[in-house]
Amino acid sequence: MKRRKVPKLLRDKGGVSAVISNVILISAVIAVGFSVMAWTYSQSSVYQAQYENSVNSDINKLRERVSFEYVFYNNTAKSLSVYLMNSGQVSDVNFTTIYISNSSWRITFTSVQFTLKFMNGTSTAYLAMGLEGYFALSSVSLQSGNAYAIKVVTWRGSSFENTFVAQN
Amino acid sequence: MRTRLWHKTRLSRFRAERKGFSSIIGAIFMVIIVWILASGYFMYTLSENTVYNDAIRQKNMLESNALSESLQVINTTYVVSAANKVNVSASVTNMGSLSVQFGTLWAYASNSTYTGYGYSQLSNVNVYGGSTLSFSSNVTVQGLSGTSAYSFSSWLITARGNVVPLQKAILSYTTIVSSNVTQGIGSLMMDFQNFTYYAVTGNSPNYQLTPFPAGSSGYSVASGAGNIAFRVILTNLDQQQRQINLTSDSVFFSIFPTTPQQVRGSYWYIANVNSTGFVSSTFAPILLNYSIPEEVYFASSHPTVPGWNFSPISSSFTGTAPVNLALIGTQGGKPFGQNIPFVSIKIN
Repeated sequence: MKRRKVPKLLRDKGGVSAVISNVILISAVIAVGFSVMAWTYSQSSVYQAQYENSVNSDINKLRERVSFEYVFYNNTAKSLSVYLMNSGQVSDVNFTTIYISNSSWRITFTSVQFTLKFMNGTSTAYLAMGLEGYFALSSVSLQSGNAYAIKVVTWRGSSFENTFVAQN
Repeated sequence: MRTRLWHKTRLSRFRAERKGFSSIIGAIFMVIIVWILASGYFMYTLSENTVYNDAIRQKNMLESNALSESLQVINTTYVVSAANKVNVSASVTNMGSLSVQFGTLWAYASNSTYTGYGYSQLSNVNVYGGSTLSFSSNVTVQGLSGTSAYSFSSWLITARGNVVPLQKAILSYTTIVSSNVTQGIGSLMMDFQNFTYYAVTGNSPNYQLTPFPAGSSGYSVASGAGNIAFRVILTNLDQQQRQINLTSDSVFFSIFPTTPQQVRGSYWYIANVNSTGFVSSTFAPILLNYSIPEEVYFASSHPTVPGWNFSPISSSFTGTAPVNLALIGTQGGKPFGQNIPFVSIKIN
């Protein structure tokens, strides 16, 4: 009985087109699905890269640290010399804005108004890790003997503040 | 029986029905895709947050290490070893557990007419936890002179960015010639090395000291019977750091043993002299702030008070004479007086 059922099944051609069409449909669906997945991955990788850059930027900002070594005000020349050190864990520290203020007054210096220099007087764009540098601000009128706050802002957005007394 | 047959019939028809089959597969596949993408992105975000949290921990550790630095500096000395150069030496004890590396030594010098500062880059100056290190370094400070008195202060910069102040010194010279009199005798210290005299030239009201500002050694005065003036450098070392004001009654007087039976005196009262050597006709009290050396001039024949202007005086006698500074004024607003017997002079 079984021997006659198998050859009979093989000779029966009914329903073959349905099977073939289903296989084709399933293949098409799988192909389209993979292509959609690939496209989605490519789109999300762009977003992932942006997110990674944002996180790395925040991490570098955290690692920035600047220490004030000395602030000297020349009352005759009306200039303020600020000596700093990059005591953080990231290089390429530069300053974009400087604020000098007291309780009732503030003056702002942008990056075009001062030049960052190494201690030997050589101009530099950045301070690497562990290096010291200074900048001199001119046309600064301060009251001798008064205390002022100086705040420097780096290009990564970190700010560091110190206080000093203007010498006579 | 009929219900079972009905369910069997419906199930067989459902199996035979081919419509919507691909849609089901597609939906399942889409769900799988979304799940894979979401889980992948979620894991990625977690990993980035982990990196960020790790960076925060490192930052906190950095700050904690910087705060834990504890240093004690003693035995600070300053010696002006050459023009424009001061040698700073001190003993540093690391009270903490972390080793400390010093990067830069700063020095600041000042007196009544000068302020200057400089720095020195230190190399391989490390103090291990609990140990003591003695160091010495030359700092270049433009304008320093080996013949003037200064007030010095200095500080060290560590590699972690901390500032470690060294104790403040009052005076420094090429040789130690100052005398501390803070407690036994009074609050004022005299600088023996920089005791000078000048000739007073000109006419009223424009009297001038010459040669100014160098002057000549006050220990041997070639008076030539002319008017003279003396300059001393005094430093207020009051332990309570009160301001001392010297009034017009302060006097520099000398006693000449002219004969065995009698002694004679010459005296010069305190006067105001400006930065170009001109003597003021009137007198304003001279302020001596704590630990700041000040130049004080004695040139007047009498206390300069309102209605009685300055007039110079010469030495009425010659020979060797001891000199006393009788200083009168106020200290912290209260009456003050100090007598400093300090030198002997010879007037020719």
